Amino acid sequence: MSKKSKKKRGAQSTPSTSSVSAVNAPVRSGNRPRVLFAVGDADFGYSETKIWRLAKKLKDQTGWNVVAVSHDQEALQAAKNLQLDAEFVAIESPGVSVADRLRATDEMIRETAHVHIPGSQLPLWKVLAMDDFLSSLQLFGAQPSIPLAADAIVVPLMGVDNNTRASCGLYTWLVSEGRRKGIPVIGLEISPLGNKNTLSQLPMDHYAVKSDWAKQFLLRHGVAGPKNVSVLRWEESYCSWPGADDFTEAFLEMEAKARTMLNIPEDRLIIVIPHHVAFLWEIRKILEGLAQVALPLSVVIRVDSRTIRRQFHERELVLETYGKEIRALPHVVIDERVGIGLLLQLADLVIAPFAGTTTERAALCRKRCIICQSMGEEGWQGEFLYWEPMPEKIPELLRSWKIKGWLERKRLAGIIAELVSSAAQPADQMQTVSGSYS
Amino acid sequence: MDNFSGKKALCFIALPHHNRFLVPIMEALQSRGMQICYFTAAAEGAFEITLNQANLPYRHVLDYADAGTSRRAFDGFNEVRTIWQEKILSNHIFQSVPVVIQDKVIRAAVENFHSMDRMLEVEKPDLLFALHELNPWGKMLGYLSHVHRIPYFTLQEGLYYADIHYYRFHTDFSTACLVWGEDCRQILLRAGCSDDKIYPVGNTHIWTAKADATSERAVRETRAALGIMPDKKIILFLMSHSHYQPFDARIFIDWMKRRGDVVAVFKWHPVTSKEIVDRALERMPKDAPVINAPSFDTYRLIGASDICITVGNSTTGLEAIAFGKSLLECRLPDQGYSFVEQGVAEPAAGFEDIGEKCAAILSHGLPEARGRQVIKYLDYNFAYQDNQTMERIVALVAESLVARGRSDLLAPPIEAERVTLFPCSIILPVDDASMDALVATLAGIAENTPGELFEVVIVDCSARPAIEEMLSTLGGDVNVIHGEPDWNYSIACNRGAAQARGKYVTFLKPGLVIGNGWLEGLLKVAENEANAGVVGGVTLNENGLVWHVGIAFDVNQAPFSIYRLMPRGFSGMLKCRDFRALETPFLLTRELFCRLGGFSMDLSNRFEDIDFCLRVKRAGLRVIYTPASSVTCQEVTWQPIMEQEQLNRIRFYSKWTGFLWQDDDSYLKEDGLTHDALSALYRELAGRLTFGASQLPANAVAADL
Repeated sequence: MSKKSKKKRGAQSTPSTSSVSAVNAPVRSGNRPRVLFAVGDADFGYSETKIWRLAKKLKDQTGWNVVAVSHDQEALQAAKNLQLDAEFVAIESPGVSVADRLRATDEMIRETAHVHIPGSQLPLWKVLAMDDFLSSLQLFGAQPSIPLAADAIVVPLMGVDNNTRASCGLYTWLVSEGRRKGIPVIGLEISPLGNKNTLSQLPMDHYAVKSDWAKQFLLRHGVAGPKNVSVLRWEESYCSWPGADDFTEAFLEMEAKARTMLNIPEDRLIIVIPHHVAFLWEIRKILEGLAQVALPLSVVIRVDSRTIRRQFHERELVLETYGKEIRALPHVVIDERVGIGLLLQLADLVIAPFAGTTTERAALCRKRCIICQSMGEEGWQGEFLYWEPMPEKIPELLRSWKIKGWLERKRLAGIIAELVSSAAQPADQMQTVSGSYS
Repeated sequence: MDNFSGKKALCFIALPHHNRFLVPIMEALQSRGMQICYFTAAAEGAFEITLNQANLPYRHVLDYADAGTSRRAFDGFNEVRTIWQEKILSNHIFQSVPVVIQDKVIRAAVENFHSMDRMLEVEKPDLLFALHELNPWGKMLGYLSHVHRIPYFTLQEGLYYADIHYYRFHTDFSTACLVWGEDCRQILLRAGCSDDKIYPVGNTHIWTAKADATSERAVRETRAALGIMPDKKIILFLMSHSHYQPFDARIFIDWMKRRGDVVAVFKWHPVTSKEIVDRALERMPKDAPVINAPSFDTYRLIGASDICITVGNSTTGLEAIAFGKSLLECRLPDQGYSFVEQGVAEPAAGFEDIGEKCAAILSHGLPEARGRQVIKYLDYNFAYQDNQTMERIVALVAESLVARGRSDLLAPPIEAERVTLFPCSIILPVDDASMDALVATLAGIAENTPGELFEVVIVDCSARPAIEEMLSTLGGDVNVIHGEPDWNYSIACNRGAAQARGKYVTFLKPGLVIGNGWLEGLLKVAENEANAGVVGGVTLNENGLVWHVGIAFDVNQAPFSIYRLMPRGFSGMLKCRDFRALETPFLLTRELFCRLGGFSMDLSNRFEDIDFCLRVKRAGLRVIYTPASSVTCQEVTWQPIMEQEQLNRIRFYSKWTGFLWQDDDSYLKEDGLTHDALSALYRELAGRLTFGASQLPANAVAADL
């Protein structure tokens, strides 16, 4: 679905009064936080409709009351198709008269009388008021007057390349109202960050972005502090990505099952090691190194059930060869059942003794990867793959990556849970206040 | 003209209609030896196309950006972003403009600002030109023109038919805003622009265009290009920008078909999109005698037409009238300005009666009264209806260049008398003032000033024998110098100062009547205040209201007498304080006056006092107002004549570009006022005066505040 076609269809949408009341529903039905997940027409189109699957995932993972919010009926229908509750919020300007324009411009001037172009005494309003501001009041009077009740709000970060006026209106209203009512607001990167126009990245309580680069961008531009930006796990970023990937699609279906099979809790840092019998020394040394890393690790050693050396299946070979090293680690799984594609999606890091399908695929999934091959290559190959011939350097490498935040990938659910939890007291008070609106 | 050689002008070009106004001026200046550089800036409207299509070599402001520019833009934008986001999130008005639009325009503003700044550093132009200063680029260029001290010329961009408030900020930074005529001048004045900056010079091209486009050959070529036979009448629709729905023109088309000798041509406002044009014309029958000519030259179309019809507001209506064409007007619902209301067009309701109206005009022409009104209308809109506008503009530009060249030059000192015999010399140049005014001034001096403090130096520039006769009867310490009637106030004062023998000098005019203690009050401050340069007191008008307490600079970077017409005793006049300039009469040491070369003699009866004070400030000395000294203005003398007025303005503002920053806010703040509060106060006072309560208690207003 193209962005262009989405915008056009969005413009034809009509309000649905029946859904409006639900935006004003009480927060927290029992212990289930109410999370508004907003998506405008352009972001819906940009993500090829996948973005609602992130909302669905959020709902399935947590059991929360996740409500899809949009100004666009077609986008909402797609959310309903995923069994999400859906709310329509009309963003339509009733029009603006000449007198309205002048009044609005006058107010803008008064409000910003002392804001100058930095490095000068030229008031910014003198540059903006009589041309751009006065002629661009496309959302005049378009702010919904309905009250808003939620425990958290997820709003896409606006990109200058990818937004319609209605989506701008919706997002801005939600952030503004959220702030006013003390509801935590999470900015979600859909349209990629990086453009120099950063005013659209409105102040949020937290920013959930797709890459380390995006995180650094927000820090570099002073949009966010290090503590309120998180990089999402790949499969969640994928939902806001403008393409399709079979492996990731499969993972979205199979993740829960794979975790059960591997018995790996969600809070573990998962390191996947594709085993190869030609590199036993390297793997032993890698495991030895990992034992020195003070992180809650789950190490998955991927073996092939068809590989046999001497009388040992590869699985047995691993146990016999690295018994001591494995016992020194907090949690190790030797797996020959889950496909490598799925394992990769689960992984936070891949450490391999050789270059192959796993390592190449890892980079495609934006997973950091180390190839540790004795007397082999050294240094970066692309953004995600690092060659390190000396396994004893791996602990230090991981420590530095940890500090850089490269090993930290968050789930949106986790981000929201933390915010809602830290805002718990105000949220409880909020519940009472918003209840009076409903 | 030597004034132009070696000089450089930068000219900002954006949309195609900018070329129509600016390029002929640039060509005229270039032909006189000036270097012209066109430039443009980043905009989604692709200004580059305008320059490419006109085959004009140009540079982009971003071409000048270096690492420092980039850093300043980055830091500046981040600083503004935080503040602006707070506004967006806390005020619905700011949410009325999509945030991504605000993002783009603010980022672009910061970038363009710093890039333009860099451009001016690199290019070091002598003059700047832009069509107007209402858009972001024009405004930033205007501000930077003051930072870099470069005179800035702007123009009238068309017929001003929008709400008056839209024109408020046309002269904030312009040195000269060149307009077509009185109509535009009045609109700008009503909007709050500075009269000092407005120059009605006529239209740069309309009369030449008229001659070209209405020539027999041009009409023949236009008809041929449109495929219209010579026997057909052309009805030209001049369409303003609007979101037109499909036209239902059946009645009009039937009328055209019945006549068989009429063709309708549609010309659209340049910003009208093809989508709108196609939609508007989609129901036109294929066989209708209608031609759509969106990109055809407008003047050629008007020139070849028989009747013009404006639909909505458009400058083309005025141009059609200037071309001598009959005009019909279809008024759109939101249309403010109306050619019909101006009495220069016939009204039409729409396609249903256009045929009938056209038929009447084609048969009988326009009523005679309409013709008379058209003449008045054109006179009001065009100060001149000739082909000399370019010469007038070139002359102003030449003056501007000369004045700017003088801005850093020190005037030669006045050779003064070596002896000092009096504490003060009161210099009184006399023009053709009334005898009463002169007598009142002399009497005031005699009655209110201790004789040991002064001599009077009278410079007689009057052509009236009676004045000379009266002056010859004066006794005491009076020195009468014979001047010439063509001397201006500056020349007369300078001549007077050259022969003065006081430690201090002060300058009066006939009609100014000094109050008791006036001179002592000025001398006291001059003697006691550190670093005093110029000292002046309050001037009251004949009704006892404040006429002058000091010069402040307004939003147009133009000097004005702050608190004029406030009642005597108003708190703002009771403080002894510094200003950047004062009007005469003021007092200073003769040594300082002569060392700085006296008043500028190229400023004729206006600005010479402000100009002098600004020079005193540049010399590091203070300009002080004291309420302890007052003078009453009973009659205004030494007034400039009209021709001198324009020269005074262009010389003063060109010379002092970059030194006249607005400062009235600071005085208001000091006095516990705001602009709104002061306006309210004036309204209240006007109300009281209306009810005959002009004799307010001295402290009434101060107490009210």
